[in-house]
Amino acid sequence: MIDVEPLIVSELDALLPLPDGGRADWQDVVRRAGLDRRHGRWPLSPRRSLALILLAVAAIVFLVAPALGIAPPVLDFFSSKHAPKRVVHQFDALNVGAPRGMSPRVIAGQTRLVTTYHGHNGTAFPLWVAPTRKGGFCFMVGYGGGCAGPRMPTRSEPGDRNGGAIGLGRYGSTVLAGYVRDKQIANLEVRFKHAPTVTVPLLWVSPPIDAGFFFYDITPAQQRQGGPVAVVALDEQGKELARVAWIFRPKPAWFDPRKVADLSKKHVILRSGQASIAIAPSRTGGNCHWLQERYAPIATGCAPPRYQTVPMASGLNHGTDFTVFSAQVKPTVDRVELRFQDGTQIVLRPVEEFVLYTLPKNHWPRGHRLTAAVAYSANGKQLAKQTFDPKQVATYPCTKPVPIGAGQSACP
Amino acid sequence: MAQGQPTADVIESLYRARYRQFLRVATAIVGDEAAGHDAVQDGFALALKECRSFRGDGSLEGWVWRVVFNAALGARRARMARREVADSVEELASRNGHVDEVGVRAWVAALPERQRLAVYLRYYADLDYRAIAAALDVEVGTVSATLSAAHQALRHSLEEVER
Repeated sequence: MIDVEPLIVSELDALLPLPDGGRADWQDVVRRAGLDRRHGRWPLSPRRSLALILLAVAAIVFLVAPALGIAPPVLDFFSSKHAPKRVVHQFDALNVGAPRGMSPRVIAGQTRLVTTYHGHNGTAFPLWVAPTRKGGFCFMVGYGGGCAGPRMPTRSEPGDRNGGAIGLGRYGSTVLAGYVRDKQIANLEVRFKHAPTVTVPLLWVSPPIDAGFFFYDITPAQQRQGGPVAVVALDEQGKELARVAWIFRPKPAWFDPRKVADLSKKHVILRSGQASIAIAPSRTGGNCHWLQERYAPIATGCAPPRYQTVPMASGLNHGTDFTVFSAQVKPTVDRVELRFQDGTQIVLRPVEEFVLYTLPKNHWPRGHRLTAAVAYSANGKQLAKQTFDPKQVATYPCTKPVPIGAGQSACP
Repeated sequence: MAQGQPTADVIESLYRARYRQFLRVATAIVGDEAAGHDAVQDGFALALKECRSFRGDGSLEGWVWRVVFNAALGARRARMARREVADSVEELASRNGHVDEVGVRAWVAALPERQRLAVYLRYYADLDYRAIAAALDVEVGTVSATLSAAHQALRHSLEEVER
């Protein structure tokens, strides 16, 4: 078998090397479009004139614009460097394996290196950004990142102010990074418990990204002085437009079983297959729980009494050779009915407000999988229903994983 | 700004960033750099004028590639009508005197149009399969199959020469 790809590349390169861009003439394009009067930016000019114009523009941008409230300079996304295949692959992987309708639909081939930030000790944090087919974008900065929809969310956590306007992520223990979309936001500040406030620059990127990115690496000294307490977005006049603080608030002590569980009273309440649920009273009230499969912990947490606001919070957890259904229910739930594709049903009775069921092998293949969990009261009233997509990949064990795209394999 | 409403600025940015790749592909299609440049200019002019017709359900770059292709294919047809373009392996071979000297270039020229365009976009514009799919307005799987068929045809030609 001949590998023709290297031959094609070398022959095509020899036939037609990448031309220089000397012929490029946007003004000619505008003329041909018949839009020169409306669209023309500047007439064709000698290099010196162009340099003077650029100098004048730069002076306006950096000296006058902020005072006049003119929009900040914007980095042209399409002029940014294409990402190498390794990074494209990582972005592509965001599209695969997501629950139906949850894929970001990122256009991985358009991933570009927007800038490279540097941490307080000189570590490089490249910022990779790619648009999505939904009109948003995905980004990666160092080892963190995320995806944004076409609009910023409007919800705000308690204690925040218009918090949805700041797409803030905390990566590792020191890196704060994210984006804003509101062009009224001129400055971003990181405020500390005791250290001085730091102003973080925004890097605005052109459509289709259309967002301003930021990055800040908290120094050890700032950490020692209590760390950050808020990220605040300000307009040109210094008026506060948004504030995010929840991300810096320590988790309440009652959340952590290691701190509050009375382990001397820990006991198993449910077993199904190799899975089990154990509980122990919390010293702050309520219970802590541990869900595990053999010796592998799957989930743990503590909750005060009456913490659960919905009748049933359920989920499927899976490993290489098991799939486990578990749910925490309100005391009003008398039973939980599991419904499968093949018409079979199983009824589970809650124990200490938990239910647990390890799905047997006959429910692993398509056509036999779990489709819904329904919670009923003692008098037969339906209190809650949660559906499950039987076509969701990587939920049930299999003998032969199949490619699901982006070089990844999973059980179908 | 939403992807569905490209402004002239976005198209201008694309032109400034990717003019050389557009020129390379257009030149490969038309068969002459000056004519290729004309096709790129005409294609971008049309994209600029018609940017409101961009549906926004794919990548803008893919849409502009399609517009520029059509301009280049139109220019090629015009040149063929004037007999300015070598359109077959035999013709290219006869110009170069011997089929071995023509090699892969001629076989690429002899590929069906979609395969040829996919090869140009893959190797001249350095686009990945998703971007090629957007440019050709086909599914990613179709790009994969098209390039695979092109490779197969080239491999077959090479194996015949080696015998």
